[in-house]
Amino acid sequence: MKATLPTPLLVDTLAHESAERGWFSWVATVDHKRIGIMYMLTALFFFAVGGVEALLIRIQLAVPNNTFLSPDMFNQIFTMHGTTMIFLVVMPTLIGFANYFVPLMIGARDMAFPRLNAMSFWMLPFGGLLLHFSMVAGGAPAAGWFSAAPLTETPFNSTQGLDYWVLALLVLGVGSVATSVNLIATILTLRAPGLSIRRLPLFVWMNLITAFLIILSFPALNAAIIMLLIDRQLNAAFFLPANGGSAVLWQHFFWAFGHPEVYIMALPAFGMISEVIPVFSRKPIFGYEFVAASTVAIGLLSFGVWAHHMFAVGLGHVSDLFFAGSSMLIAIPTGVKIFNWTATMWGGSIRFTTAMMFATAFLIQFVIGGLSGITFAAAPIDWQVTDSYYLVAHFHYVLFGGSMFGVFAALYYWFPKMSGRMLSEKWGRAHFWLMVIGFNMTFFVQHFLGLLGMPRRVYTYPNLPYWTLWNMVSTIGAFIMGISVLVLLWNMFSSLRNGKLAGNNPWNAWTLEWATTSPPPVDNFKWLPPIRGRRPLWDLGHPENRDEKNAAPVQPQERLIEKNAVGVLSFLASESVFFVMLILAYLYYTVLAPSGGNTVVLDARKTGIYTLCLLASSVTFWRAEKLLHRGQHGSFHRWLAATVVLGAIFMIGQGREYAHLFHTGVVVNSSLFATAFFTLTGFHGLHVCVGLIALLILLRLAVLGEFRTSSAAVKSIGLYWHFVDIVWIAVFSVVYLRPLL
Amino acid sequence: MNAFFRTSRVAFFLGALILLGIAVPLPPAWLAGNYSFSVHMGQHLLLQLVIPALILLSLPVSDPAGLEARHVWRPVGWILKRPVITWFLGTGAMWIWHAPALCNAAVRNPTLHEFQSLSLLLLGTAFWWPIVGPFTLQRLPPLLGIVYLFTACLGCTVLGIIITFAPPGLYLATVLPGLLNDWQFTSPVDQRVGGLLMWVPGCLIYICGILGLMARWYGMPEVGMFPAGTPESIS
Repeated sequence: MKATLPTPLLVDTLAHESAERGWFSWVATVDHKRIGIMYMLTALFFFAVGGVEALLIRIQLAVPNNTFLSPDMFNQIFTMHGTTMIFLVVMPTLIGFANYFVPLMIGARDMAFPRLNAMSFWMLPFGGLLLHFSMVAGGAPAAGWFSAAPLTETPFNSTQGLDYWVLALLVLGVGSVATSVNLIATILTLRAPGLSIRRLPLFVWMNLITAFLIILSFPALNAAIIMLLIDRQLNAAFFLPANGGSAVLWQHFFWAFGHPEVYIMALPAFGMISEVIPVFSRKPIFGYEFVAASTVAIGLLSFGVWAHHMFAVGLGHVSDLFFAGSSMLIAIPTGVKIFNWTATMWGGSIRFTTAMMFATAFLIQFVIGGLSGITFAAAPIDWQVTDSYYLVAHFHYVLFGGSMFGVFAALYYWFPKMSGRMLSEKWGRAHFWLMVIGFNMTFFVQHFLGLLGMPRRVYTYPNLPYWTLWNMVSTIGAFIMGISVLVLLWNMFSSLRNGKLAGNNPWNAWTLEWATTSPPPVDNFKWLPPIRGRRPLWDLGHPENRDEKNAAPVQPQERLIEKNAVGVLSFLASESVFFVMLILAYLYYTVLAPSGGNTVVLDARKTGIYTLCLLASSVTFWRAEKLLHRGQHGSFHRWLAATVVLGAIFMIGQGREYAHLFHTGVVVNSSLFATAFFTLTGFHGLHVCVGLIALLILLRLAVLGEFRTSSAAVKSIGLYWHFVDIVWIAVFSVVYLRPLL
Repeated sequence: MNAFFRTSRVAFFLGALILLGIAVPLPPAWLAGNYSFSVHMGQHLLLQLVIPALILLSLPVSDPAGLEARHVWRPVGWILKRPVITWFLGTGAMWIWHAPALCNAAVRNPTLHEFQSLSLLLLGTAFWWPIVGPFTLQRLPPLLGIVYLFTACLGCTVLGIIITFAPPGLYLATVLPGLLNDWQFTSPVDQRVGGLLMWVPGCLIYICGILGLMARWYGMPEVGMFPAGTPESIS
């Protein structure tokens, strides 16, 4: 069974400490492994914060009519608990693992854009600080993690908590989108020779799909929270029904993000499970293709089902019917995966290490969470149990019993690779059993509480039959979970000091990260095995029994796509969703909403002329690029300058139109039309300004003689500039031309 | 294996014929006086997204781009080889025919309605050509095909969302008395069902296409594979 590795790989552990030491080397690092670890440590810190908040909630609810927390404090704490756990714990943990292991598993030296990676990470502590700063700035946000409008509007929530909430989520969103752009570019362009996309380890595959979900769904959240911020800071009324706005639109926008977000938090955990179960069952994953394709199906379906979060809103039976149907469909690809994992275990020689035990518990608990999820897809059941503890039980089974258990499995599996030392199995088992008992005690009984009618988000309850009993059980369970986390912390602490040395491949696993030392050297690999299948290390140890018997020797491949182009294009995909959301909001408030309608007359002709300038600037840029390619640098500079001038003329035109509107009394909060108009055109203008700054930098560098022939920088900024123009064509058609029809 | 593919081709063709039988003659006849927007939306989805795909799947698959040779077909071949154009033809047809003015005109004018049906069929065929067209060389590589279908799906979704939330009365519709009495199927509901049909099941059609592409992708031999039985594969 033992793979025989060439000697250089069998040597030392822990000898490959990075040359740089000291805390500053961590602050300044661009190494994906250090960044990954910093992600995980930050997430661990916030896990402690969010966990303490959870315990406070459970103490308050342990007995009826409790006065441990005031109602307002309770609201703040459950809001902070939800926001922290989702944005500061689960996502950063998963992103941290992806950061550490995706490059290793595909045989790359680092992420595609290491400095962008560092920026993405530093957004996390920044966002966390912003969110928690609200506590000393008048009170934490208190409207729940999904901040339902109009509760979030100034008349109902006058402290600055929600403003900090918005800013924190914007900052964290920037970090997440940047990481995802980075992951997509890394996975698509930096794979080792022979590692085709069809041979990707499933953890990498799931992270690829997750990255697409993030870049396509976060813009919906960003659009929504920016609109909320405009409401709160500029006295607009996007989501304020009293002034003609629509609270339901908030829910649509939020859940258009919120439902994919569920899979953003679940898919990477699926990936972890798909790595752990085969290794400890000593079998390749059963039905690799089905796991991969069902992930794509889940990703696609996740964009078409968000309205099932809104059955209680009153969208009408017809809408409920469609979304009930599409939501139930999600059970199919998810169920397929469960069968893949169980079939992988079936007949395998299973080693119940702590990692495998967590993976097995994941399977069982995720099925429970999935089944209660299907009950929610039936609208009439949803009406009965929505916003009750049944829902709380459901999503904790998915996110804690599922995602977090997947993370624990991954932690026991990959800790040796990251630290060079094994976690103690003895303490691991204590952690596991306390966690399983505590988790199920806490949340299984909440199903009963919900069915008995206990609503979520109440700070206390009267002494009703069984409510006191189940709540006490739940609280005791929560404390057992707390103890189990302490056991985990002790296990990590003591194992780091004197755990067993791991060696390169302690589990006899098959993917590339085990082909290097533990921890890996700064540049990851001294040597890569030939990749002729999905399990390179298996193939290496069993040349007579390779997975893909007909695989040809690895040929050095030509890269079809270049990483900058992939990075820019995925960023622009994200941006276009943002503008689609703003355009839909504009259409909603000016045409679709019953209270909509526009009394302001816009001058399509004058703006049309400026529009032509902007479109011409795309042509001049295209021309400039051609000239650079031909090496005519003087002309290149002139055409680039012409692009800047044309772009600037467009901005002057925009400025004049704004000045005219202000002059006639049309300001951002004078009507819903005005708010939507200024938001949409303002954000486009902002993008033009960013483009102009980038063009000026290009021009300066070009004059200094930076670009000899074509360059990735020129191409990337060109793509961005063309994108800004295309967006304007859409905006111009919707805002200026549509009323003329 | 061959027989299986031949049978499945026959099945695809029969399926296309049956759906065509449902989509074309029925609604106009049945709903001559009782026009329903949502039924028409169902018809459009069948005509543009389902039937052309089934017809293309029923064609025998070959490598050479045979349209090249015939002089008359050259412009058509030129278009079909360009996925960017076919993408715009497909999504464009969806958007343009559902502009309220055009959609309502097609209801009033039977000739225009026939033209609408025919154009949806043809443009739908153009749309599916790079995905399931008979000439394998003209098909998009699977991953690009997924991007092609996914972006088209988004376009369709956005249109569906707009129609779903549009103010009632945007599209001409007289309400069927039976449905109205039994199911409260009023004309605003009718319009919303139309939008939802495009939004949700419309999207599912694209997702089916994407899953089909993935199945095809995983069925292809990996680049750099030796055919079974060659010396290298034994070593």
